[in-house]
Amino acid sequence: MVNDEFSLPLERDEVLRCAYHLNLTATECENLLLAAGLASDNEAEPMMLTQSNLPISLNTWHSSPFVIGPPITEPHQFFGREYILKRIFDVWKYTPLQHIAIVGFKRSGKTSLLHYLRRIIDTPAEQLRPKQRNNWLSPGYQWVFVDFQDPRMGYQESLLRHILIELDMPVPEPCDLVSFMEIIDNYLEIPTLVLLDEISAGLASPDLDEQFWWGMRSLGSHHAGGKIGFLLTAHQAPEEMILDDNKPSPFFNIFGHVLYLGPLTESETLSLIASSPIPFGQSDIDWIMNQSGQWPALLQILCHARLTALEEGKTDETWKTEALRRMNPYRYLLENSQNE
Amino acid sequence: MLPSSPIFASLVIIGWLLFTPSAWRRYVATIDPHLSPNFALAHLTKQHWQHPALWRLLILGHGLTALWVSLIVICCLWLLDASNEGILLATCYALPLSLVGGILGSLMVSVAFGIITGIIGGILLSLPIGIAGEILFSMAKNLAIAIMLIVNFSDSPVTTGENFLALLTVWLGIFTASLGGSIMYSTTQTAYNHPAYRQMGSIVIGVVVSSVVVFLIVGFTALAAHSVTVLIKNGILFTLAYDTLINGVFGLSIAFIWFLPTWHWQSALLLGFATSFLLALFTLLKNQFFVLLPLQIPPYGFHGGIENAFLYLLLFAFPYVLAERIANPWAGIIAGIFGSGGVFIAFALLIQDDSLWLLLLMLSAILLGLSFVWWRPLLFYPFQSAWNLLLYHAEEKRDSQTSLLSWHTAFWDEHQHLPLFGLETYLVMVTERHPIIGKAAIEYLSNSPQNWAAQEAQIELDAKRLQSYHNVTTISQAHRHLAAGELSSPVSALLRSFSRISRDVDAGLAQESSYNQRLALDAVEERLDGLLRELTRSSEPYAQRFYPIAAQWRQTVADYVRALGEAVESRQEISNPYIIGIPLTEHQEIFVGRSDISARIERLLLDVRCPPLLLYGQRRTGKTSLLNNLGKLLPWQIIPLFVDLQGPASLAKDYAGFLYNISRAMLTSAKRHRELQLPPLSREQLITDPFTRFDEWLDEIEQSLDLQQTLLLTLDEFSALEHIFNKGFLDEVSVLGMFRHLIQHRPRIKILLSGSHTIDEFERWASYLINVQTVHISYLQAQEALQLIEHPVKDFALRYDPSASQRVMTITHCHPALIQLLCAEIVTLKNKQDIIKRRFAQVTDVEAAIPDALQHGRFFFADIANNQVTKTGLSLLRFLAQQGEGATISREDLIKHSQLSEPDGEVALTHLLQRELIESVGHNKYCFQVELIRRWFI
Repeated sequence: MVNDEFSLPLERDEVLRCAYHLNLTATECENLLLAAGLASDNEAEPMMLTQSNLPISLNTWHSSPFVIGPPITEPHQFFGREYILKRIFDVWKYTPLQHIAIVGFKRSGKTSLLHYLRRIIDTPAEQLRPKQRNNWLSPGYQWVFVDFQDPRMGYQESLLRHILIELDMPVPEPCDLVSFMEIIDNYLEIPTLVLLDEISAGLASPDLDEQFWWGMRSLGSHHAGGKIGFLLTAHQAPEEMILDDNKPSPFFNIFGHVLYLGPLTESETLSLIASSPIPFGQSDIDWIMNQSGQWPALLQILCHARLTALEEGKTDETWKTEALRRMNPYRYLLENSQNE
Repeated sequence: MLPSSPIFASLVIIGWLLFTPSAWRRYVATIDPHLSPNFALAHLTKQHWQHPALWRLLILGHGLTALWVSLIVICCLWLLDASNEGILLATCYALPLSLVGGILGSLMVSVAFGIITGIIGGILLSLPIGIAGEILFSMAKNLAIAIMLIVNFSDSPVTTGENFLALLTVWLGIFTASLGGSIMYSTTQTAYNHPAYRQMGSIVIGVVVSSVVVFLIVGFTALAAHSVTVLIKNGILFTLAYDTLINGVFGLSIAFIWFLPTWHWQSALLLGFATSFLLALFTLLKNQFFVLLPLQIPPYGFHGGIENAFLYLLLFAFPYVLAERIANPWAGIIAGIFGSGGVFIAFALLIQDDSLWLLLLMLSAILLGLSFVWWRPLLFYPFQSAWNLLLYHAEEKRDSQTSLLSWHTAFWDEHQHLPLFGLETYLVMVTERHPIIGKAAIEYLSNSPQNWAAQEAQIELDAKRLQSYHNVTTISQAHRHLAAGELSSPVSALLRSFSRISRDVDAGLAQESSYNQRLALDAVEERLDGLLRELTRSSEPYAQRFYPIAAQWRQTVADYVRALGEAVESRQEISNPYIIGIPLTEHQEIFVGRSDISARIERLLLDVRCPPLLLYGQRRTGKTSLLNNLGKLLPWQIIPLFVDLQGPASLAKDYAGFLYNISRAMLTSAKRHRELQLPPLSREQLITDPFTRFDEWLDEIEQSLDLQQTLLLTLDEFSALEHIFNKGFLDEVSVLGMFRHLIQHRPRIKILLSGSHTIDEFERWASYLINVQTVHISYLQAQEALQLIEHPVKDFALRYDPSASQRVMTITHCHPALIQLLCAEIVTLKNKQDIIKRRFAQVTDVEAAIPDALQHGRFFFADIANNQVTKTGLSLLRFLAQQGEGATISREDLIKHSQLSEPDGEVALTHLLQRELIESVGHNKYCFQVELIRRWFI
């Protein structure tokens, strides 16, 4: 039955992954490692499991309450979007997992929303704001974040490898789409949500060809028993994206829910403003609301400017000039929302 | 325990004896825990004498208090306007009387007795002397009286005024002895616990012993008096003989009394000798200064004080020691009182004629003295009440970390048995401000005569605490605070009821589901109703106090249950069963209808010569969903083998890969739909000669099947083949040739293609896919659509007004994907509405859901606009859409609008008809097939 010839696995991770899927105990896992000719290391394992490849810092709790520039990764700093969150999580409450497209202008908060989606369910209440809801879904989902602006995600091999590693699944060699789908077919048991950020960058990648998107569509419709759900973000309207001549039309067809990211509601805006450690005056609040058009990115800029001025004890109105100057590059948000 | 200041400390000791015997007991215990609180110095051992606390007690209790006594006497006499000589005499008399009397009492009876009689006797017995200006009832006089009586002197030697004061002195002396006895006895913990027979026995023994003693003393005195008379008659030195006799008697008596409890004859003799010597010394001094008039009074007073101290104490101690030895201290006290009082009374009876009156008077002194601890609190009660009231008001205004509560008489007058009204309120106030102090006070008082106040306060505190629970969370925790204590309280039963209710609330809140929480809390509400009814009927004094609390709890629980109900209701959203975008599998209940199509497919398949079938339908009409559900719809003999040509098969880069991926899909599908394990086929096996090996594998499959079984190979998205061929990895001829071979030579394998293209669109394929039979899949039938709208799943919570369902059908034209899209939006919309309106959908709801459906299903509509129609077609659709719902436009007008030539316009129109976007109505008129699609194109 067994040939004399066999090859030892080269990667320690592969053995560990096997051990995980075989539900081995710690001792059995150690024995397996030894049998594979790899030294056991009890301390290295938990480190590997807990490390995340994503740039999330848990030390930002005491950082500035207003974030300008990078997406918000800490759930307690994320405000608003209650309606969209409800719609998304309502869809994901049940299997088969359905696919959702989030469309919004650049700087409308798409990436922050994705980070929030993937973290909120498993973030304990003590790391959230009071009354911030985290029970949208029962825990037990796994999340994969794919940022197509990361150049590595423009290549099938590294993209598929990234997804498998995130899912803690064996990575085939070579890691092509067929093997990938086979692995997903065989191993995926936990409901999995794949968050595809800035899909247009993915569409522009030559390596992610028509067949790749067909594969993705097939994965989303027939494979994995409805346990895989996609959420994509795009700054273009669907009608601008889906062209058969262009690649991904069939892939987009599985996205039955298209949601638009607009400005925050008034109460959401007020709660974001109220998160300032130094309360703002009513006139400032009115001004900020008015100038920002309730777009979160603009609110962050204006609130940050106001807070900085208050912290520095400045009593004049120069902060407004400064804030408006910093807001200038994103004025298109206001113009577009007016057009709408 | 004692203040460091000697002045205060001496006052504190007096306070202990009069008001707080427990403090006295604690102090005595510091000397020796086994020492009785009414210990006498005669009982002490060497170790006791080495204890500084004992010395402090004696010095303060005798030395300092003697000074206090003198000062008080001075003050009193000054207030009574006595003469200076009288004051001086009384002061000089009081000091040794108090000191020596006290010490003698401590030595032979008890320290408590000694201290208290030293003080009380010192004051009371000195006042008449100060008033009279001479020493009344002195030993000399007493004996002289006796002598006179015995020798039958006819005239009385005493005046009436002096006689009254003498009687008063006797009365006060008896009173003091009784008071001292009663206070001494009150220091013992068992003072009130002796059974009546024991008390009676003690009294009888005491009376008998005292009678014997009185008889002996009177007899002895009579003998002595006779001798003295002889001496006087003989003219021998009267004073010398008299004083020597007295000193000798005292010395002997003390030696005897000391000997009785200690059995130390040496020390007894020493003490007796020392006493005689001391007395002799003072007698000499008095006699020496007698001639010097200005210095006469102090030694006279001192001598009198010492002499009387000896006289009184010996008269008490002698019977006391005897009776105490025979019975117990209580008998001793009675014997002491009757002994000392009896002698006076005996002499007085000899003087007075009105013996009954005298006897009653003296008895009154005994009773008053013995009952001091009972009537003193009564006398003090009004003053204590006033004091306590002032204290309460001071506490009310106080804003401090400490409390004045310890100054309340309840905490220092242990004999006060009368209820100190207002104490319970005070306790509640203090406990609310300083919980630790209040709790300790309540605990202390619960073992005191004021335990009623402790109980009342505790009940009130419990009531207040129960009242403070304003929400269910705090109510649920109440039982933790009610758990300790309150067992014997009159409200125990009530508190247990509240505790049980609190536990029930706790258990109710612990329920995970809101429904179970409501059930549990409903039961609690009922229990509270029962409690309220019970409290209404109850005549218990506390029912009135606890009724509002129960009512408040009931309200809180009811409010919570209601809020919970509302929250549950508001959360009770209709679950959205619609699945948009992805094909439905056999696992989804929502797949409806298509039985007509499946029946047609079945009919066709049953024909042995069945040509390949093409399931043709527009995008999103449910082709894949139907293929997924064929396993359910077709009889078991037909085994559907689903292959998605846009799936892994399309990714193959060679024939082996292509056929391997097809075979894998077939294997999976057979297992999924018919639990059938087809023979495996590996990629390696296909490498050398893929088509041959694949054909052999199909042979193996056919052989493994039952005779009646047929395989249905469904190739979804068959148009994807074109893309595969275009990639250049696979040759069209080889692949399609394989399919033709399969169609022609394998009658048990049927082929069902599926796509949104007709076979005519792939003309060159027609020669391979011979005689394709098209099965058209389009809109749902009305009944099927209605089922999808109104009963998509079992127990669907949303009901539709018939007109609303009809409107959905009209707007979607029974397009399955659009019904799902619109109905999903309707569910979302209804979930946002109030619970009252939530479960019933009307036409307005359908209309309101349309914009959201258009928005959220944008990919569907954009696909039509971008991928399914030409630019001209798009323009025509937009033009037609502008005309409004149900509007028709003639063919001519449409071609005119397209600005195309007649044939080209015709082509555009035909294409739109073929795409099932528009339909022909009447003669040469066209309109949108689906209203919802029209709205997108507006």
